[in-house]
Amino acid sequence: MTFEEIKKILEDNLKGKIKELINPFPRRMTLWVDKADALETCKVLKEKAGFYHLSTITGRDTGDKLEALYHFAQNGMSLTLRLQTDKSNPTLSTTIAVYPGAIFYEREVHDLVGINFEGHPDMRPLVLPEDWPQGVYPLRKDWHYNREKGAIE
Amino acid sequence: MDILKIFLYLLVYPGLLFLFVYSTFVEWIDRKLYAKFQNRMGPMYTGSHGILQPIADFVKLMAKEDIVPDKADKKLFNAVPILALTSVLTAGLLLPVWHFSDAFQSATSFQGDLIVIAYLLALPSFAYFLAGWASASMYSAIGGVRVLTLLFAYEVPMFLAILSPAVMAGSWRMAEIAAYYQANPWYLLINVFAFAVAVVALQAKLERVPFDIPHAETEVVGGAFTEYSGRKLAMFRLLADIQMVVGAGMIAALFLGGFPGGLIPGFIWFVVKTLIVVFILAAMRSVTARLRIDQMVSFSWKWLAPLALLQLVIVIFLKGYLQ
Amino acid sequence: MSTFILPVGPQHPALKEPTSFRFMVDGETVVDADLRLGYNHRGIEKGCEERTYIQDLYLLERVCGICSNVHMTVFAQGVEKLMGIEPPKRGLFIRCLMGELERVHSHLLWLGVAGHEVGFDTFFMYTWRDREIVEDILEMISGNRVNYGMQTFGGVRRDLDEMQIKKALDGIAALKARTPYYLNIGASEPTLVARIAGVGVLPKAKALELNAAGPTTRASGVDFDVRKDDPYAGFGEHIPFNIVTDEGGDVLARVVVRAKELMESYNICEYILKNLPAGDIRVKAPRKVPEGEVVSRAEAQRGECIHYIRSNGTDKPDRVKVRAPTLANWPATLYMLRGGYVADIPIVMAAIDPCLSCTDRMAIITDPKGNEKVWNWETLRQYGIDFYRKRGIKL
Repeated sequence: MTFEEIKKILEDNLKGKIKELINPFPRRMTLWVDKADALETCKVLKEKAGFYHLSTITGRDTGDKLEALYHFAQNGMSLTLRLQTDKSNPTLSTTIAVYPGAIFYEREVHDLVGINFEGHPDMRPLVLPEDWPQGVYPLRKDWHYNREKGAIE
Repeated sequence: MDILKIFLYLLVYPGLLFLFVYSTFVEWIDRKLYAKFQNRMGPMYTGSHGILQPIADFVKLMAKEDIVPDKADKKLFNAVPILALTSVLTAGLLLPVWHFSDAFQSATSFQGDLIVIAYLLALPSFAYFLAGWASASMYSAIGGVRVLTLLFAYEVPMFLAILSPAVMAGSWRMAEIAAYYQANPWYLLINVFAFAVAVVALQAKLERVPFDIPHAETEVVGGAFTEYSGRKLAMFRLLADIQMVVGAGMIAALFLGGFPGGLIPGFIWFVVKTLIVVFILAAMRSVTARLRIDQMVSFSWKWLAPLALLQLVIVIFLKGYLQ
Repeated sequence: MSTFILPVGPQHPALKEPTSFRFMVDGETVVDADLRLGYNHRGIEKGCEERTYIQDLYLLERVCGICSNVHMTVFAQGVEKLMGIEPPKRGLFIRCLMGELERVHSHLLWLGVAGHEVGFDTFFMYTWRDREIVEDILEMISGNRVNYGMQTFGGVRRDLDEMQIKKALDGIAALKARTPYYLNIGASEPTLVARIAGVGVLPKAKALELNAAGPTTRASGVDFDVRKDDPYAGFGEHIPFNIVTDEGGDVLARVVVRAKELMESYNICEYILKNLPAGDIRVKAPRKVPEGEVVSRAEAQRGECIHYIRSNGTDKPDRVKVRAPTLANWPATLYMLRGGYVADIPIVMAAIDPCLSCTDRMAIITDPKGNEKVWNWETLRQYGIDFYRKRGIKL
């Protein structure tokens, strides 16, 4: 589908909920909605707009907010869904009901950026050790890695 | 003089020394053949074309640290390799390679030695199971159970297969069976099905591809031997090599006409005929993938056992006809 | 025998790299499977934020040894979009050529590994012997066998001359003659087929639902290939090729798909080498990247590889996210493993061609008290001594 076709489907189904819908590069588009509308948007994307594949979820620290970018794909188009949440209470609702393949991506984002996915059945650490300190998220901007002196080189 | 002969028999030929040297040689041949089939060189550095590599491996393992797991049943864990090695060494003595006299029975060649050698060759499998059980490790336990499952699959076809030449020759003594076929070489062709079944069953007994299910490294690490190291592992390795020699020797004695002509020609026959069997075994492991345990069991009962039974029926009818 | 837990990993002969599986096993049947990653996490995403773009290019090449070129390609073409530069056509063709040669070496490697996992070592030896041919071509073009360092912003770093093109064509002709033999063995050798047919079945619906990628989904009948869906470099209008799919959904179908993909890759390589356009191989790229964000995708040999790059106007990126294909395939793998035999674990796991260093990208050594720190040599040595003393071994 072209950008115009997808734009029409999304505007029909998500009236007034779209904050931003742009087409920055050929075969790329970005959709920005409020986090409360995340699940509904995912359903529309999968069932109406034909985005059958969730490539991955990127977690990002924008400075004052945390951002989750869902990268969807279909033949000939790649869509980025932007959701933002506060840093003080970073929660998003899980999308594994619509995209079961998101299970590991959400765990990874939880590990590294610290967004809680409400309703996710299994929020154990995936890539970080079990004894990793609570509340420390290495991919946030305030975390810096300092190599100690005397480390094995 | 007889005492000296017995000592020679026990310790030199075909006893301990010969079995050790020849089994390492057979391992080298097997590795070289396997490598050639796979377009590789195989061992090259120790000795001429790596001929001493199996001995070097053995010495290396003997020198390694010997670790016994804390939770293992220590007595059983230590005893099992020795028991298993003893049983195959004893089986080696029964091979009809060198007789004081064909006419008279002795401690190493008697009516029924065929049954004893088959029994002694089956013992290592039980030893593997016990080794897996005593190790107190998950992989060893699965390996041990698989050894037993495999045993039930190949042992019956093996016994049925070695029955046919014995029935044909009308004897339970390997030397007499061999002598029967030396007198009537054409009768060897009758047992061709049984020969095939016996070779396949021997491959399973030796736990080599496609039947290396009990110690399939990508599934259960080392199977029953996962926790073994150092001297005990060296014993298991040596035991597998000797088992190959004795098994090949048994098949050669029963299906390939034995080793006629006294000491020196008999020795040459022994080498040639066991190497024929080893060649088949090496070729078999080059061209196949590992079966799953359920596939192995059904293969064994669907094909091997009926084929061996068919052979037995053929032999019984032929024998009646010839008489 | 009652249910018990069979650990596979972090160290296990079936795994080429560390990861950890916990299988609930009932006799010889797998009841449930759980996965733990992170043994190979190296902090590459964080590291990218602290380095310049050109340093990142080489850091990202080291995400993985087998698909090094793909990560470099994806990052380079993403940053090129942000910079607003377009590489010349010859550069794009050579970029494609490297990608396809890498796919050939990876698929040949995988065929061998699959053979080894089911105990068919002869297959392993044969495919790896032929893999040397493509490794030689790669070494001739780039100077390296594994990390080629060929891509850069604005094109590629090395050109091909007539002699190299001729040698590469000869090598590909030799491989083209050999590969049908492997396809024949993989699809008809009785013991091999007995082990891989009907094993690890992934139905088409599940493949779509669990968002699997690469040959894993194509073997389930989904024609999902980034080269066609989202053409990059010289693909699309320039270079013709076909997507290989198979309806089987089992490991056998994955073997067939990979073997046929090899043939497609040979055709692509031959087409590129015979129709290489004249001209420059790269254009000059600026040091600083204007602010923006981009999603860059490519078809790695294991499936879709995707990078998200956000720039902030300086010479260092603000955020780089790497998703290698293996992570996309893990949910499908866990689905395939449930209900199978213990004996099928290695081959099902190998069937997605897992690359764990792609999946994990950060490592921190922690001491037993949970304090995060790097150990120096002395502490590590003392820890080792204490560890064995406690177990009654004298040192």
